[in-house]
Amino acid sequence: MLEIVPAGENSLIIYFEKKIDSNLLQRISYYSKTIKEELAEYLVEIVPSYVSIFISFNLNLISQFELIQKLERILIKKINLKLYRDIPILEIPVYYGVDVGLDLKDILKKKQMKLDQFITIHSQIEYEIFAIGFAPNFAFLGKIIDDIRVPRLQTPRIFVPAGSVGIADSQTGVYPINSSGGWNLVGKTPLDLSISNKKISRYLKVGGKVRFKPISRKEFIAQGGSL
Amino acid sequence: MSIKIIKPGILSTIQDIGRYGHMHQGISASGALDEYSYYLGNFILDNPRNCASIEVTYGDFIFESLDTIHICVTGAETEISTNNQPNQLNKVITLHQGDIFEIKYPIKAIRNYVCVKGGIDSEIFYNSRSCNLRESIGNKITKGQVIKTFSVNNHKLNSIDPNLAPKYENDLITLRVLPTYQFHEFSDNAKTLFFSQIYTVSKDFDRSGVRLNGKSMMDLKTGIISEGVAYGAIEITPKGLPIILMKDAPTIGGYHKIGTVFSLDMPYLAQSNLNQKIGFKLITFKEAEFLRRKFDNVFLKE
Repeated sequence: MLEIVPAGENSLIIYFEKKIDSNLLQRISYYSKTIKEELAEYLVEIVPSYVSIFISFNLNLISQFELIQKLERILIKKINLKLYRDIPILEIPVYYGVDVGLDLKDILKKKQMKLDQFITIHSQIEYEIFAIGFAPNFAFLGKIIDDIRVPRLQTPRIFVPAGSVGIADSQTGVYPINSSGGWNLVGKTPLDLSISNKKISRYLKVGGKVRFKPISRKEFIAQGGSL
Repeated sequence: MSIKIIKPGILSTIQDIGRYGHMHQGISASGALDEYSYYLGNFILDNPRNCASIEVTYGDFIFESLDTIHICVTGAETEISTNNQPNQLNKVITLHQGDIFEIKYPIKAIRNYVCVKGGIDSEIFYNSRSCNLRESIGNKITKGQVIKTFSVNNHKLNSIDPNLAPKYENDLITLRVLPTYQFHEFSDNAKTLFFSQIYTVSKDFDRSGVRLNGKSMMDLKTGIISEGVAYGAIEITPKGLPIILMKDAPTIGGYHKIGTVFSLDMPYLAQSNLNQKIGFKLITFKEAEFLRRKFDNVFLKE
């Protein structure tokens, strides 16, 4: 399946599949990069996420029809994804504690689990970035292991502090700035994941990978974390 | 050169053309919500199109000029004055040191643009001076704040045909819609309801989105896999009612979209107040492309 659908008079969206699949992420990541390189002069935005790539373009330089033709030429080329692995893995230190993970207690009780077990399960996976959105640098990471899955909170919190690590259904992620949020909070990172930290942007791309490294409360504070 | 804020009003922020090229990082476009008025102000001042201005929502805005500056106020129909002497919208106003300039609560529409010759000199973050409160980029303008403006050697000023200024409606606004995204997945009944009824602007409207009240669509959609959203995209919530995405909206979304409002009609939505009547009608891609290019040809020359 490959479908190009208009999104506005100066934007369109390419659908690759109907279902989320981590193999697809590498393809989407590859095409985003290629389209960006080959059609840079026409593009304003290119936003890959889960199963699609959204594109907005400069209508004064190219029409929707002409751009679709150019995109089709790029999309029919056969690709070798084995050659394409250029996003470095981001390691995020996390302090998993009930004082920062406000929903940990409830989750452990519900799952009849000890904190150590939860930490092992949450931090053992090399997560993939399926999408970036909701807030600047908010990466939707998947998939978390079934044993620790919980639904989103019924009522979102009005205030979630920056650095909070959350889980919801099959996804996990870190709130990069203070915001509202409906995910269950399980820990906090001292790492600045906001867009003010320009060193982080090369990791935070769809198709990139993230690992959580458990740290102690002491290490969290030593690394600049605030409780 | 600079101005000092005496009364900031309920929501005044610095806005320029917007923050582009970073949507893949989850950074929204931001920028002046009523593009038309914003471009018009800069055009009259013979400014480059990207000069930052102050977007004043619901008027009630007073500042003191600390130097001689040229300004132009565009947007909502309202009373404006210098030292209590009335001025006109969409015209160059020259202020001298100590002059007190005021924008009253608007009569029609809700947002004004205070454009300044040379533009506002404030911090640039990711290619733009635009404030986005949802993203914690920039702040509301506050009482006592001193805002710097650039001094320029270009002394040219323009006047416009008054017919070129946007006209705001207190009655029905009909927004032109492009059939985009999941348009074809909506039932005929849903589409008929959408294009035939008159919605009203609900109490939930801001720089991120405008929620409309009306009769709910019956074939409810549970949501889609989150995808990049266009400016003006019309999301239909699980309750069957539309939200139209504005400039500060999140960059991806998981609601079904019945279409996208044509960008040149978005300024009129941005100027809509609570209970404003809103209707929709289809426009073709060909016509939208033609009209947008024509507009850009007038306003977007460097």
